[in-house]
Amino acid sequence: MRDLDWSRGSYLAEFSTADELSEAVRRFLEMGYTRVETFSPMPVDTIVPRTRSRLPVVVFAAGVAGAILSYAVEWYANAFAYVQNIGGRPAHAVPAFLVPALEGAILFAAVAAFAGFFTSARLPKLWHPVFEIPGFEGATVDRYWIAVDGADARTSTNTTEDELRLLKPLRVVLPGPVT
Amino acid sequence: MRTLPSDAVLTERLLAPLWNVPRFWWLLFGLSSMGTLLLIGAVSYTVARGIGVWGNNIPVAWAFAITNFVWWIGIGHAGTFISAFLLLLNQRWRGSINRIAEAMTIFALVNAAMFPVLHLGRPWFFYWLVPYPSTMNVWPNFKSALPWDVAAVTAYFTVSLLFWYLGLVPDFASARDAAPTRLRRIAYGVFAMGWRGSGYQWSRYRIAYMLLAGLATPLVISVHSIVSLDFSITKLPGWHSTIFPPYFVIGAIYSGLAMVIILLIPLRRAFSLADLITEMHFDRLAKLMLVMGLMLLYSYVMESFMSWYSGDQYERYVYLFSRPRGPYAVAYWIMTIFNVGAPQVFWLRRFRTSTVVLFLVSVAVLIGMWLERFIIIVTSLNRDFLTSSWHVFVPTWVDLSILAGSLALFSTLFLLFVRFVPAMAISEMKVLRHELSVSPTVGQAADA
Amino acid sequence: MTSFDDELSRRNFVKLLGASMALAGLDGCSRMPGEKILPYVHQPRELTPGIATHYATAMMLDGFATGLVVESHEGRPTKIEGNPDHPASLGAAGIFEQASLLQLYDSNRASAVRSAHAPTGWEAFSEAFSPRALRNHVGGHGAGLALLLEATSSSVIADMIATLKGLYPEAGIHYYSPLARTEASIPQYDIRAANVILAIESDFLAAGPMQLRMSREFSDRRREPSADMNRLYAIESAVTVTGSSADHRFRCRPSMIQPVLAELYSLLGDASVPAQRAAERSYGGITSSALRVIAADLSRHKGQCLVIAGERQPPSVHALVAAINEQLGNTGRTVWRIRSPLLGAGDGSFSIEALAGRLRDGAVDTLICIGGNPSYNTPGPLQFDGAFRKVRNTAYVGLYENETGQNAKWLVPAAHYLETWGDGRAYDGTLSVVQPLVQPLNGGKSAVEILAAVCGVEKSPLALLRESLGRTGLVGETAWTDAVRRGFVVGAAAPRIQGPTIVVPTAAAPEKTDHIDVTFAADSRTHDGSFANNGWLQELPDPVTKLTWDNAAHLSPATAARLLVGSGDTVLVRTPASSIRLPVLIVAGHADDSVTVHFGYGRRGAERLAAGVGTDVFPMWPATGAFVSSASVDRAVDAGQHTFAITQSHWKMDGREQAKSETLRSYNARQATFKPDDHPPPSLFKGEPPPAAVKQWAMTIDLGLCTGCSACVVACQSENNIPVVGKEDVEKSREMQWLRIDRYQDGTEENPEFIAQPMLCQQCERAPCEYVCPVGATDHSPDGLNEMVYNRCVGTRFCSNNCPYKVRRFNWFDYNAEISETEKMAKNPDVTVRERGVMEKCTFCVQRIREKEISAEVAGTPFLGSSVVTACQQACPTRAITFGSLTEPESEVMRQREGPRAYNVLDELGTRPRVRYLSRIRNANPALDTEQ
Repeated sequence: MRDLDWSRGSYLAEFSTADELSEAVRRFLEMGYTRVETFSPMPVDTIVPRTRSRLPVVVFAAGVAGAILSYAVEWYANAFAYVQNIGGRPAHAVPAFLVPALEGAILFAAVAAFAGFFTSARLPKLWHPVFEIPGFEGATVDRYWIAVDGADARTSTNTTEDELRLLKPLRVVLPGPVT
Repeated sequence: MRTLPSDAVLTERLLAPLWNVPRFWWLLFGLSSMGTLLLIGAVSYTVARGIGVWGNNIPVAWAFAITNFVWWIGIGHAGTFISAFLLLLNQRWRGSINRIAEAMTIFALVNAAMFPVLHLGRPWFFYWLVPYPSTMNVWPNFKSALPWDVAAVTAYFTVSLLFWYLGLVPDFASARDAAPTRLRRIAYGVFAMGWRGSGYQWSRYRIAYMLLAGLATPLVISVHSIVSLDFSITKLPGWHSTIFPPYFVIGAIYSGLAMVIILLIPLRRAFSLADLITEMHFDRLAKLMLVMGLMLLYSYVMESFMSWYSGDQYERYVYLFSRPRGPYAVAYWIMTIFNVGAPQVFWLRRFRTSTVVLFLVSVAVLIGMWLERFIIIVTSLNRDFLTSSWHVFVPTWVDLSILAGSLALFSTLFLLFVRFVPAMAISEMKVLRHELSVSPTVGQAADA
Repeated sequence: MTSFDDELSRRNFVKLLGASMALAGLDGCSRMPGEKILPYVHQPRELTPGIATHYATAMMLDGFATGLVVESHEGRPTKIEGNPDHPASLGAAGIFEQASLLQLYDSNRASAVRSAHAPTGWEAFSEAFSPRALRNHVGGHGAGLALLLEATSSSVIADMIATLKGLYPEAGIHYYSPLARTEASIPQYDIRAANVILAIESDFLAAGPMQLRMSREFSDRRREPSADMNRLYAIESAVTVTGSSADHRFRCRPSMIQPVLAELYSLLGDASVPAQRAAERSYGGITSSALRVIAADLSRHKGQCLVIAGERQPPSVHALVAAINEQLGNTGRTVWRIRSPLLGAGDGSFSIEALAGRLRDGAVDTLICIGGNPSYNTPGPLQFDGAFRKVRNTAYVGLYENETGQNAKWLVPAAHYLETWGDGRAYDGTLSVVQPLVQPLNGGKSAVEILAAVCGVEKSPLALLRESLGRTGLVGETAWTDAVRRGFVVGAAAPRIQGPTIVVPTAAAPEKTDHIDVTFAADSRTHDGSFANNGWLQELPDPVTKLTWDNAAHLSPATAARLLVGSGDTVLVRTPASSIRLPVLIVAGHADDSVTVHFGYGRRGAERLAAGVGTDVFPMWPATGAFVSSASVDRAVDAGQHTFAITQSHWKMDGREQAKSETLRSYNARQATFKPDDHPPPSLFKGEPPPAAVKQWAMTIDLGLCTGCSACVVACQSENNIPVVGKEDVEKSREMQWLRIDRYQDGTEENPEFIAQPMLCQQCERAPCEYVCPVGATDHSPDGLNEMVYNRCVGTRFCSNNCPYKVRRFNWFDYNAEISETEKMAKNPDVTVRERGVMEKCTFCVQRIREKEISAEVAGTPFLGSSVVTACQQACPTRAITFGSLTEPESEVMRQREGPRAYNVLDELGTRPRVRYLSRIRNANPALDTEQ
């Protein structure tokens, strides 16, 4: 899943270590919650199910495209559009043309990877509801947050809070900011 | 490595240089900007009068500009090597130095990119080397190695920049959230692009970062190989050599590592990062230098041996007479001693971990590597086939000012970097710390 | 670049004025002379814009004429070439003739008549010097009037002088040119008829009024290596072009020349001279044994050999040489004499000493000095300059406001020979016509006009010329027209005369002396200083030393070692006359215990290029005008290192076999078993064969014929608009000449063997420069030319790095921005003027190829490769360069390419050059041949 739908807000809890967070995620998924997300200053290995990324495929395709395009330009320029007798060398010089083709491949692939990441990560997005939570800044410093979507079928106003409190978080925010 | 401070402290310390500027920073910045002004002056003079203000001549039509170009681009390689290569090899210790190395790469490339344009007789037409549909329907000649350079350098610069920036995004977010004033908060907020550190973002981030690392790695190999082709595709004895691509790549990483060390040592002292950039780091870097130095020695020996073995009188003359005994013999021997002799001290752990020795050796290696490029270019040109056209090259004050100025530009950019950008990958440090805290053995695992 | 720095002074202002005046006339042919001038024989009469017209004319140097054909675009002379029919040229042109074009457009030329320091005008001058005005000062018979002219052989000037004599019987008429030959009778040579030639201190192949013809005749006996080949021995102190092209060169101390000849004379068996066969002597190089071999060789070819003595050798030497030739029965066959056509030759009116005396005594009230530069180029002890200033009224007529002009009360700009009508005699007496191509650019006046004004004659120079020529027998319109078209009168060579009776001087036994002989020599580029302001010549590498923008004290390695000096150190040369500090230049092959210095530098006139270049040696020239004197030479310790701008720094081939040379015998051995190899050279590429439909241009250069005289270099510079870069850039090895002459030395430092090799773009079929150019600015044309596209070039200089011959030249600065407006008119409109930052190189004169191609197509005639003549080929006096197309199997170039002497330079690189060299053949005397 990409991101919670914040239409009905979320139940959030703040922890001070990554392990507590992982534990929290595990517990909530066991309880049957599905729409759970984490926020952390560093990548934390959680068991939150993720869709498989298509980025590698995109990058590979871009690389191939880059190579073909570069080579095509060279061939068009030197062997087709404007053929010169250059020191008696063949106009279509395969070994020479391969060199820029390689660089073209890498360039295109890299740009694709970069752009691919930002699009899939829905960035740039300078404002987000979670930023409204006072103290959420910690999420990029030394605080680990779990968020349970208000729209999750399992979520209920009378149980979810207690379930969070059971994990002994530093604090609980509920229901989180509503878009 | 064993005792890392808490995340909070870590963040605070690593972001400190962004909020309060030490006095020595202004001092250094003042100096280097003056040097940069010298560069601007010398460059404007060159463009206004023509490159005749340099010492270049016929036969020595290439000299300082191309030497500087190759040297700077070589230095860049260590950055990519450390951040991409070592990442793929799962060398965790790189975490505390890769950001600096990457920054170095980019600033080195900024310098490098300047010279090929500047050395043209008509620099205002540099874009003729780029394929674009011109009204005259004329195109670059892709049989020449120079359009290859254009492709290689463009790709290299772009990829390095993207890679660097991607790594910075989470740290910009930390900076945003730790920023003391609203203005800075907004500024870093913009660069952070709204990073929230959500699990999903992290998962995608790691994939993208790995991919970019994977793509940057072939660049380390290809870019300097292509640069070396500028020389090896020619007929000139001293240039026309098949050993050049690997030989240049080794030299490149070698000089780059030296530059990393030169930057790390003062930085570590200035921002008291002894616990983050530890002896272990220097030990590793020194070992790498030693290896590179030995590989370079091999290249030197093979080059000369091949010239002798080829039986070609012109080759033999360049390698066995012109270089060791010719007009630039002094430069040749300094190069040999600095590049091959100096790193041998690293056989001893004592020296590998002594910052003083490290610093001195690194400086020697940087000089040696610059001289190596100078020797390759100038001593091959100044005495080629027809003895009648032999002539020496003597640099002018403009040549020297541009070289000095480019060093100043580099340090200016680097000073701005440590002042405005988190100089260490904070999130990576946190990962490292976390792993160590859960299982102290991870540390050794990473070390191994 | 300082040589070009331009400060706006009054003089420059006047110059620019002159320039703009000149430019005003650029349109059409409005600047062509008013009178009808006649194009060269085989040329269309009408003037088509864009199509060059050629006119025959002649240039005087030291009084003798060389016939020329001048190319003119829209009435603007742009190139000077030799006149194929003229006896002194035979189609070739020397460096002075060719470079005189730049002199015509020189922005430093005097441009206004002035009196004292106020510009007046021509009228004022002709008024002040009219008989009416002049008589009051110089007396009725003109006792107070003196005239000083450059050496001349002009009939019209002779007639004007006669008129003047009629007017002022007591006027003193003087002639002076420091290097002119002033005997009453001058020797003529038939080099073709000589099997063995001995040159004594004689540079007959590269200096003197007949050098072009003599080079040609010399080379005609060496085109094919065979028994018929001539053999040249040279005995000389300094290294000359002739000496380095000789089959055997011997060094000799200048003061030993006479003893050497005496021994030779005695060897050739004349009782009247005591024979010293017994004593084995060395004359600072050549030894008795060598002389014996030479003597034997000479006497084997009695009547078919020749001994030539240098023009500037003392009479005693000439007498001995005449005696030797007599002895060998050469007189009348390979050598004879004619009456010198120079005015005043042999009658003492050349004695500048006498004139200086008269000036000092105040015997002269008015001195009119036409041409020359006596304040500079006279022997120092005469103090001519001081005497000249003493004279109440002096007028100087010259191209420049030089040393003399600056001290003269009156200055009148002289007309360049391309601006005026005139005549003169070639060295062999042939009457040559000087035809103007342009009106005087800045109102210059010819000698004739000056004399006419002084005599009060009111006739145009043309009218006066035709009168005088009429008197010489050239009467009638057709005869005149023909003479002007051809540029000379056919078959007008002077009759042979009986030479003076030879008095053989008794051989003075060579005395052992500790002093050093100093030889005063004409400079190969500035001559006597009159060409010092010529950029092409200043930057032309000396044929021997490759020195530019300078002169020096030439010393042998041994003598330099003895004096503890090296090249660049300064020595103090002391002669009885005076002492001068000169930078040392060590020249391998120079004679020991002797120093050679050159005239023509250290100019102090208004010529901006010449100013401050080199050192003036005239002050230490003996008053007698002897060219050899004794001196003491000491190291000047207090002086710093002098930097020379020398275009070549390494003289040995280091066994690289770039310029091949072999003896006739080894050639014969090799040639017997020679098979032309018809296998194509190996290549990775299939590379389809060049299209046979178009021409495939190629060139061969015969190293056996090339003397290194450098005429081709100037021709190329003129034809291809090659800029002059100045001393500092030459020091940095940035000279721009597309065609350079490499010079290699083999053997000992004392007396090496020399070989000259013209090096130009080899037009490689597999050009290394082409594939490295990132923008395709250099590529190959269908007819096999290695093209350079200036406006596509971005200036990476990669092509130069990859050129094994290093023949590419780069515009480091915007050299053409620094030339004057007038100089721009010397540019060839058919060739692009290159911008700063672009590469350039030899194009095989592609503009000439295309011109011929097009005209053939227009005329519908078949286009023959042989019809194209490159600039270098055209100028070459020895015809060492052959050009043509590979598609014409019968062409000369093909014949030579396939011959046994042909080879490619750096063949092993597989560049497949279209230029091939023919190895040099030394017709060595087996008795002397060191190679066995």
